Amino acid sequence: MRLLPTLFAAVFVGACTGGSCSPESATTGSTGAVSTSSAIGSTSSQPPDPPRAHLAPSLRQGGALARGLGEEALYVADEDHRVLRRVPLPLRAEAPGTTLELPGAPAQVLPLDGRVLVTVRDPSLLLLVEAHTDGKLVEKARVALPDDAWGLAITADETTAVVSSAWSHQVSAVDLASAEKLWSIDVPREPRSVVVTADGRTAYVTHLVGGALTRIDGLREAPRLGSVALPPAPLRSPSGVTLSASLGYAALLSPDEKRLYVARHALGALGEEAWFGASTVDVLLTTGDVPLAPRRHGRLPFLRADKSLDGAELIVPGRPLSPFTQPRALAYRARTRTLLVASEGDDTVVELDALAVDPTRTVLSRHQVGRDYDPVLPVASTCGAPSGLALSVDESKAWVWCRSTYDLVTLPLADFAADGAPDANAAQAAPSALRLAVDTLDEDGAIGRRLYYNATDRVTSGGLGCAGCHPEGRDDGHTWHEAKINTKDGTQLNFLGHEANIPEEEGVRGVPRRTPMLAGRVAAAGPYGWHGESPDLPSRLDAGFGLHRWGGMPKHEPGNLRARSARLTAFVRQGLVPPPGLRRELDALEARGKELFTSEAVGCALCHVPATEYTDRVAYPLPRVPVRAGFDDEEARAFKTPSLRFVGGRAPYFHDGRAPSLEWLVDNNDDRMGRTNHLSRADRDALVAFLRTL
Amino acid sequence: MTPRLWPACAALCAIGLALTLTGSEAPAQTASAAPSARAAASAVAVEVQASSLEAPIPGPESSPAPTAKEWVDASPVKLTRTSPAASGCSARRVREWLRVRCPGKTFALSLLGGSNEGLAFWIGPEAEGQFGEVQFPLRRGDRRVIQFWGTKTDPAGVGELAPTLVVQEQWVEGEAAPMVSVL
Repeated sequence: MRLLPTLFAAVFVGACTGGSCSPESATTGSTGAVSTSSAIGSTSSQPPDPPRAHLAPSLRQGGALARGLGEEALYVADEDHRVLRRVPLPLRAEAPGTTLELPGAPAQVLPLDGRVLVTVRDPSLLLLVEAHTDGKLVEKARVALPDDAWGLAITADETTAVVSSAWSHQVSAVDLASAEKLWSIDVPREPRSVVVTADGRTAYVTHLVGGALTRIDGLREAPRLGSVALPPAPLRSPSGVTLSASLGYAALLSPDEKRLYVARHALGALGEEAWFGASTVDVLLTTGDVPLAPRRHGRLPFLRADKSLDGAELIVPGRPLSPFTQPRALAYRARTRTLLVASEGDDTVVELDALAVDPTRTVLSRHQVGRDYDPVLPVASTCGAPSGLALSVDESKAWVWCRSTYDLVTLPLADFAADGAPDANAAQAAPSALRLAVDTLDEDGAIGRRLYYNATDRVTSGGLGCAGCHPEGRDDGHTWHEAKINTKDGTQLNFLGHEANIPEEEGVRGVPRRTPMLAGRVAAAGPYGWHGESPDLPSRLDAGFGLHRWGGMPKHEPGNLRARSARLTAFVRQGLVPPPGLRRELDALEARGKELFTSEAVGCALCHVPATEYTDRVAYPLPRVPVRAGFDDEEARAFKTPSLRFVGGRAPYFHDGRAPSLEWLVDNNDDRMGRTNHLSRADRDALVAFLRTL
Repeated sequence: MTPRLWPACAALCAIGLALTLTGSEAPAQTASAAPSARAAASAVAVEVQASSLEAPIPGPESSPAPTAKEWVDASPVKLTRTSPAASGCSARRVREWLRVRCPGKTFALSLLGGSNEGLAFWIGPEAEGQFGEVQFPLRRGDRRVIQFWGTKTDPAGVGELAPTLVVQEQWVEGEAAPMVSVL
């Protein structure tokens, strides 16, 4: 950790002059801090400003985009350009603002009075940046954190930051006065959004993988970990079934903190032509940590005018299946009691009723922020993939950060009463855009990036972008059902999120297909696919286009297919950022594991060849294992040796996701791959320890 | 929901389809003659100021479903949120019981989640525009989501179901009043 105590103290006291410091935090800050107060013009002879009210929950949370506190500016965590941007308001082309080069890609930014907190992914840091009134940004301190710092929130007294570390699946607390890490705690995979309650005692954390939330109590003392069940899209779930979730990028507390909103994707949610599930905003009542929406159980009543007793279509919500796709950010409009959701997949921002049992069912307005669609590859050339949201003080407009085109968009919002809704037929004021940067990739890679996030191009996919299952090039942790089903386009081989998505009359459940991670694992020429059935990556993508939908491909020219796969190939190879790798020597246990891994006696390295991303890319027939419940068996027994790169961070394992952990995998290998039965407990632990370093 | 002219008898005034549920009773459909049909003949429109859902519910928290006479005398109630699409809907409350009627041709009504205790659906006759009407009690701990369905014709000329309005009801423990929206 690099700490600049004097300078940072100045930043801290600068915050205190806003009156937001509690007596406790002021005392803490006085350890070398108060003496520097004159450096920023605050002297001990001046009476303190009256205490500022605690920040609203939304202002205590980081985001890819945030509005400055007490200043007319926006802050952008521009991940691809590795900069923090400060953009003055109103947005003007001639005043694009200032930037601060960062040591790595930022994830979230949180402006406070005169200072800005920024999470940086690799190297993993919490940066404390001083924001001058002239727009200049100066780093004041940095706090080293577990790999892949991402989500960020602070306590209401602004003394403590809570940061999620996505890849290393940890959450840390940082004392902002001393810029010291207080603690880190291990949590389930891919923790992302963090919210902290006003009393400063509790944090809720969402995950990119899985439906449960993590709750951490005792933020200033010894953290205590808990899991909070929040079933995704219960009204679209099969009766009595709790679905899994993905894409838990965003969560938000209501102003009274009684409700926690979590935007994500419900894997396998039911609906017309649902193959992937549905996007959802789920509500947790924080009193008792109880989901607001009811679960579906048993038969649900219905009444039809034609007196038919067929209710199959009536007992799950109707269209639209997903009023938004790949939700990335949330904002709360207090005056209208509504939620804004940034929808990455279809370049929209939707407004939902924040009071509803199921906000997803209450789309009050829908704003198309993407525009200038390419006539050949229909992706937005302006405001593609909205991923950040900020509201003006009066909530009359929102600003949107578009991560695939690097635009900031000003979005006027309709005014309506808190007991009403905007008129759907009323003309909407058009959003205006300001481009802040051009893509860092070449033209093919840049178009590939836009395609990767896009969920509306019917050739690439049926309603879900690549980023829907491979967020950031990682994986959703899900095992899909690959099944031949009868659709309106005839019998088709498609992916389905849950066996309940397959019409009962088909009599199949599909073969299992675990989502593979892409980032850092697609450099090889080929082959690709679980069976090594695709000779190269573009061929694999072409095949994937057909699988990722309900029904058949729309009419297209073969050249159009390759135009897409070639550009996506360029992007996934150039643009996806691999997780942080090991930057130290192996310890003794890991070194022993490596010895075992590469030994002839164990034989892992014979197929998982270290020199070629720990794979020989050859498909080998493997001994048959019992079929996993809920899936069909398949004839093809030869599975391509998967790369082991980043294997430690992407459970579950195997094509059917049967292995929940590396420990389970080694313990239950039964000499199916290599020879591990003879290994002692200590050697098995060593082997697992080494695998985690790959 | 704005105050509106409300006929003295608006509920079950027509012969339509009805479905009433108690507890976990399985759904059953009946074509029913509404009990207050005669009253409809003498209906007199009166303008009544809508009360708030936050107004205290008189009497015991759990009472039997109101009689037709009680519904005739029921006052309109202002819901927590309604959209322009639901501007024609009207709601009335008797004790803890709520009825919401929405005009427009209703093809079906369905419960998407929550308790069916005391839940009742009606679809009015074509002569009355085939309105949809739902009734349920407002009780602490409630969660209900009810879907109104219409029909539409796809580009090929085939009729298909189309969701229209959604009624969402909740009474969260610790809250003073329930919330009901029609959007």
